Amino acid sequence: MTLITKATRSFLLACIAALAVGGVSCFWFLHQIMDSEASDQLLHEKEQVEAYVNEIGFLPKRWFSISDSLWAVRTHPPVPIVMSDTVLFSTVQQEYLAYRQLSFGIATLNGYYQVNIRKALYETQGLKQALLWAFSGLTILLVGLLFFINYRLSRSLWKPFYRTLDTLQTFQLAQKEPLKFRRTSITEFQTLQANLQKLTNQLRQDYQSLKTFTENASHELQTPLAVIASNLEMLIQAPNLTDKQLERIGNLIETVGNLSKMNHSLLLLTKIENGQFTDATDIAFSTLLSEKIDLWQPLIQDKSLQLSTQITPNVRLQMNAFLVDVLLNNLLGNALKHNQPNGSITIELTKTTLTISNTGPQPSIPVDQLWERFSKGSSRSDSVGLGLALVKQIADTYYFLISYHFQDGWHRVQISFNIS
Amino acid sequence: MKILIIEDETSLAQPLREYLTGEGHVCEWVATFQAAEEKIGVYEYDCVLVDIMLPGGSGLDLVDSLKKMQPHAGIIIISAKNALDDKILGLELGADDYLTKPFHLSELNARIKSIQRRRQFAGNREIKFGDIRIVPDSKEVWVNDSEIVLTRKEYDLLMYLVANANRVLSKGSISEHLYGDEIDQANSFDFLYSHMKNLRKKLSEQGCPDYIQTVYGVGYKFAA
Repeated sequence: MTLITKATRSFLLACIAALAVGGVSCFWFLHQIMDSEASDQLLHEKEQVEAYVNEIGFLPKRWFSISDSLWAVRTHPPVPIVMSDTVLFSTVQQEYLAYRQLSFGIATLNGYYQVNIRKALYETQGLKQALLWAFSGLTILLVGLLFFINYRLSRSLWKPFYRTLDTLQTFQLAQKEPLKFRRTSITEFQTLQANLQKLTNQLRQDYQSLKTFTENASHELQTPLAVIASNLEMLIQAPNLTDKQLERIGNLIETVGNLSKMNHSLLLLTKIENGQFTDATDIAFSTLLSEKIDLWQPLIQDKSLQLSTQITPNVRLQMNAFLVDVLLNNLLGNALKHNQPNGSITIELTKTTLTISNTGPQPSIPVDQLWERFSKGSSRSDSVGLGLALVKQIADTYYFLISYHFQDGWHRVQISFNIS
Repeated sequence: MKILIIEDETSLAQPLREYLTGEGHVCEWVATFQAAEEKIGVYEYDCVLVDIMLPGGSGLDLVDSLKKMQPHAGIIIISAKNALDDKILGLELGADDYLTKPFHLSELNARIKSIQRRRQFAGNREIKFGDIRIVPDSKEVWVNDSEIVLTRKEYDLLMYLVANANRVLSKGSISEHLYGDEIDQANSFDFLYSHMKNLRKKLSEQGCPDYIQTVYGVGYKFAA
């Protein structure tokens, strides 16, 4: 629900509630006033009749001057004063009409009479109805007008806000230029824009410095690594090294190699986390997967592994080309590395999932820790435990769901693509 | 070849220089941007190794002025920055190659050899090592006048071995050359053993002596 809809709705509800309560109570008051007015009039007419009788001694002959409808019946005292409402059928209007009637006893020189005076209530009813119509008409007009003005006003008032929102939505961490908001004359929105500007600028700067830090960290670590590696490489060229010495240097070279690969993977993780691989292209995933499998084929044969594949053709994904490469290399590499002699690999690609299963020893750590950095499911020294962390990071980047199961000697990694 | 090394890290420049001198190149080394500018302005080089982050300026600017003053010199950028932007910019400016630190000296050597080959005149582009004759243009390999059919990886492996002949090569250096950074060491070593086995077999089938020596615990050495 938009702000304007919400505001308008609340406004309408309030209007309706106020008018309903106001209308009903107004009507009730009106009714009460008119009702007592009718009774008062009847009583007043009674006084007039009594005054006439007191003065003249007889009932008035020309009673039109006193009341609309008056008749007297000769009777015996006592007669109580009764005020009653009644309906009578009117032949003129062909409907029942409401009347109020007052009957009382009065003694004249002619004897005792019961006097009835009657007053039409339908006149006041008509008045009430007319008032009701006028009131409703006015109300509808008023609410309609208020509603319209309120809506228009809200829209024009909130326009700068929505423009600001639109601008904010285009914000990207990696963008080089600061956000440009359209100027507004409303102070609150100016404050909002100024703060957003400050916030996004800070974000951009932080992101930029993080990026610079990542690159600098890379530089700072790579150079010493390069120094160690090059000097070791020079060292093994020396003549007269014993086998023992050569082996030791060999170990060092391998360790430095691992170290620089680790550094490389960590930097890659950071870069993916920072969203530095945003450019996505349309990847022919099925083709790429087949190519990758072909690439690994010699090693699969060399390790006498049974490979079975089931690849649905024409699966396409919107991904960064480099990240797809890293993803597949790690998944396939793991399936080979953590396999057993004469083991098996199955690769299955459907429109929505990629499942890679391989035989192998049970992982030595809990399954939910497998995705964490530096956690190793095996005690191999040549595995640094960043491969699955990279896979997870890439999957997270694209909102892919990733799962791992170990059952009956089979490792199964499944990625569900989020195609929406 | 005459090679200029522009690198501010002394302990890296030292082995670089030693290795390349050992390959028969004439090497000069400078550590700052200004010194490099002066050298480039005065002397001609066949190949220049440039570090990007230098005291006094960016190596990319040196690449730019080198390309203007000495268009025939081969340029290899050596950088700790693995940033794609720098790589692209460097190659756009006219660098022949881009190596990310840490790199193997043997890898650098192979790249220099490849630049050297490109600079040589056509027709003279055969590489000979013992009984082996390689024609890089057509990627043909001959042993005693009979051609050996190698896979791409086997060919790359042989080229790398020949380029670094008589040197001890670590397994890491070879596997990185063949498979890059993306495949982890365990798998790439397995790959390497497999390729090495096949290459040996194919060479010996044609009566080629086994030039590939295994250096225990380290790697290999290609020597006659």
